[in-house]
Amino acid sequence: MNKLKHVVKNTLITIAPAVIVYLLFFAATNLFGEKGFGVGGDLKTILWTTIYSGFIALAMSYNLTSGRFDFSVGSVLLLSVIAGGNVAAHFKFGPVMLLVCVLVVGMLCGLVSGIVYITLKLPPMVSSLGVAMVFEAIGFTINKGKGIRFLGRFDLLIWSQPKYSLLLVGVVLIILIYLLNFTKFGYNCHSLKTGQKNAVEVGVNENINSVICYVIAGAMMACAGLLYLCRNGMVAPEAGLASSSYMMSAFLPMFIGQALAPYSDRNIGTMVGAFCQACLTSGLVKLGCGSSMKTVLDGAVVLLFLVYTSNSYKFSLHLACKAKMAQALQAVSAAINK
Amino acid sequence: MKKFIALLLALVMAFGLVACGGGSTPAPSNSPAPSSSQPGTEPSTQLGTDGPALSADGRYPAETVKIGFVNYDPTAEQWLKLEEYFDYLSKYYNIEIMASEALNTAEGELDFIDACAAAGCDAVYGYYNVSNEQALLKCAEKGMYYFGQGANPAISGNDEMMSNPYYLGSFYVGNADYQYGYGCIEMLVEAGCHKIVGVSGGKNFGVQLFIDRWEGAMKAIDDYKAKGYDIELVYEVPGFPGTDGSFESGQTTALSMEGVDGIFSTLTALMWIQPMQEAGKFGQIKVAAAGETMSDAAIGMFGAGFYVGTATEIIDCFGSAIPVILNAVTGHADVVRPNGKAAMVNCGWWKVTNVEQAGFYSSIQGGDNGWAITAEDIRSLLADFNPDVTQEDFSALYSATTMDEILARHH
Amino acid sequence: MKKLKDILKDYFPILGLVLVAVIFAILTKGKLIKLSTLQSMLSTVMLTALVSIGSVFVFGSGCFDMSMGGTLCMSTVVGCYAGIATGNVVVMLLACLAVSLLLNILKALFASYVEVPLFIVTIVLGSILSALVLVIMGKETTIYLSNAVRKLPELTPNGLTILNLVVLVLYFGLCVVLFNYTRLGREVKLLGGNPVTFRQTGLNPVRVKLLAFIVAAVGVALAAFVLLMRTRTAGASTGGSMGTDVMVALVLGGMPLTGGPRSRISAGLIGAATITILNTGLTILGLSTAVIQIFRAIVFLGVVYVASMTYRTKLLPR
Repeated sequence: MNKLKHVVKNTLITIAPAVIVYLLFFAATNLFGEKGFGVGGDLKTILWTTIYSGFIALAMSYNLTSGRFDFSVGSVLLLSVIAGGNVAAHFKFGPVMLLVCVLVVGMLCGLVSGIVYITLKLPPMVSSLGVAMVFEAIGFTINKGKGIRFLGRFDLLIWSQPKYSLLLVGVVLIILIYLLNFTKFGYNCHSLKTGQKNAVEVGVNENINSVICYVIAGAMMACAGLLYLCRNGMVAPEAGLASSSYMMSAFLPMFIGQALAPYSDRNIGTMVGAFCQACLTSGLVKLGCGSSMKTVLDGAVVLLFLVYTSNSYKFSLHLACKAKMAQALQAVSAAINK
Repeated sequence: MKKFIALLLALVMAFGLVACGGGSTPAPSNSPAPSSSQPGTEPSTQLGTDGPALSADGRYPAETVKIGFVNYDPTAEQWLKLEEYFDYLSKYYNIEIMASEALNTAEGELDFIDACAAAGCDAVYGYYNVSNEQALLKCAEKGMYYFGQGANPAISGNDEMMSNPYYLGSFYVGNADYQYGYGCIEMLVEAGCHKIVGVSGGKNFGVQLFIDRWEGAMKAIDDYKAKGYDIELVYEVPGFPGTDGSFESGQTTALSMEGVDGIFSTLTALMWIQPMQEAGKFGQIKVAAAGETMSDAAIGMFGAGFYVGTATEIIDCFGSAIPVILNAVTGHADVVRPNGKAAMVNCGWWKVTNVEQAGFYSSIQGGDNGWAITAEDIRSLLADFNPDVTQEDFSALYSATTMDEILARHH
Repeated sequence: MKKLKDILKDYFPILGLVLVAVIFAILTKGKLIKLSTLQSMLSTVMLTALVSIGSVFVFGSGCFDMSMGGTLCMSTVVGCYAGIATGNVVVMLLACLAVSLLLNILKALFASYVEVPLFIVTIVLGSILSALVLVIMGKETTIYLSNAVRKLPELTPNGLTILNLVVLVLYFGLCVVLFNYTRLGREVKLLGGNPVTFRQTGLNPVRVKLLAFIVAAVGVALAAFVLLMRTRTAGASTGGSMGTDVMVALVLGGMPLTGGPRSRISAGLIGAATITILNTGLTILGLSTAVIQIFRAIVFLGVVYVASMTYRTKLLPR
């Protein structure tokens, strides 16, 4: 019974942010006379944005939580979909093989990033910058700089449709939850996250673990890129480290994911966070917020959330101290009265 | 340690002397002295033929003319097409284009111009400009010509800049972007549209070309309303796809609105195809886009009934820089700068309204029919080949860009 | 007696700079080392150098500031508005200084009192600042000093070179003295190297962080001023990539990003010069965008790999 209560409580806490943000913006937009938030087509867009930025956040979370900031995520997204898409176009593949091609390239890119990191032993920010430059350059040379175009190929670009994107994210989440919670890889991730030196000294192979994390990140970025391609029909390459801006939409989902991790799973929490962000974006657009002001508000929310998650332990610590003090005082007064 | 540093410094000095050939550095020239030939000297002929001197591989002029190209986005469709055009022209003319990486700051632009000077460029093409007249002044300081920015009031609207001997003018399509926006609404009205969604692109970021295109469209809507035509702008989709989700959100809102039958876009509208299909409105909403580059995808969308019109910039008109710069560098600056002032080359643009036009215009942008303005056409504008050429001839050629005029010229 | 190998490791950043300069001098057939090119490169290197030199104090104290670009952008734009409104160069400089000091003091206080991963906070802050600039500028993307109420002095190329040299030499000299010969420098290195020991010695980390950020703010203000005098414009994308440029410069200059006793004040200058020579050389060669990026990545990773040998640890770096 207690376990059931515990599960119900954790589930409610996990979905609470999503429900609260959705209802908040639903009320706000209706209050200002803007109908259509979170229903019909808008809900489809929120779903697409959730899954798209959720994949990016998942990709970043596997490295950032272990202290590895990866600037190359955007370039991996671009290269995987441009290279994978062009291979699929050349061999006239269908949608499933398109997914496979894009995933394979994404995972290869992740593998390269990981190997560069463990071989050169440079700070990950630095090595990922170099890798990003190379990936962008390769993406630029494919197809004479035109990227990939599947305009009008409605038969192929199915992955942005709700049923297929939900299927994709569902399968991915199941795999990630299993990997992170029920495999040696997952245990090693947790131990390296909390104590790198100790983990290595007890025998955790940090090199292999890091490479696997990069490969997972590559696969996630490939999924995000596929969703983008299926939504817009085309993806153009970028140069000059412009691709490093892709990670900006990942911060809030990631931090919400980390905050919700104790109640469910970091991966699920990240998707909940992505939903919150998608509602925030759609809501602000409906309320007529300009792009720049939206960026400022987004950033402010991320900062506030970051401050809260990094310092929330102080509240619990304070409460625990207070409780202990009260207990101690009670014991002292009981002893005196005796 | 000291010995080591001394050895190192000596090594650096030795390499430095070897690298710069022991010569002194010439100060930047204050007069527009072309690097490829001296003004006023009679060019020698080669291969026993009459006419100007050619390079060893038979291209004109004998010495390579290097042109720096200030670029905003090296992945943009228009630049990739223009690069194709320059590659085509370089088979006939001894030109070398040195394009920048993605530039979007004034300091980046000026740094690139400095690098062009160091690389020995004869001219800089101001395809993109954020530092206004500073770019031109920097070129002048370094002894390089500057071409471009015909619609920039700080340059082409400034008498002092127009009189600067290093400014070669620009191609000019009137208030181009304003006309594109106006033209797009005309095309939507011709297609019978009444409720219009506007895609404003970088308007809210203050990017002038988007602002001009938007203003042109809004004026057209007002003009049609004044004539009694039932038309209104029902929604504005701001921004660009893939940035923060707000474009996608706006797209969804637009596609879910009742009665929307037309979309005007200040940029390519090809990213509407998929969302429109998913919303079940493909073929029901007509689209007109400003600044679309003719491509197979665009032709396909005309055929599919997605596009009813595009306002298309002609790549060859951007290439008018080549004959202008070649004349200046080979000592005929007076041709392109009549009366000591820079002049504009009036150019046309394409209002594409059906798939046949789209097919033709695409075929003369590096397709089966070559180019609208060929290397042979350009030859007629070069003073070394045609001593009677005047600045008006430039405008005459670059304005004759309708389908009929192009066919008449090439057949 | 140090082995040659250790000497090479210690001085590799300078060797890297010399090597890059020599290689590109040869590849560009001497065009890179012409007087006019060197003058131009001095203007180019100023921005990154001034910000990087000041950043050594911040990074040295263990703080990680990626919002330099946003700070520089805000400082430049506000300085430009002040210059346009008053037509006075001194007011322009003071406005740049006021904005950069205000922002950096806020960052220092945040870093001192709020327990957050400063790296991520500053990345987000950088984009907030750039967006705020857009909000401030409204419909304009660029503002011009030519619209000032009174004509502001325009420097000739030689005048600009003199200004650059004077500003760089004075600021670098000041930072060298502060970092290597004063208590502030020692405290910055200790705080970055071992924050626990720092606290246990009774020193005040808030004071040190504040001073470190203030020194960095002066660098940003000078960079904004020099930028305005050179380009006479300010825009929403000014200094956009400064965050990564500074990080790259410091790493190329041989400074560990975690700070500590191995921090060097020369890292900012050497790294900025290396990047500038690399970028200018690649541009002069007229290579395609793709080739330039690959070349830049290889040189960057190669130089950093060797320069980081002095602070390599057994564990994978984070």
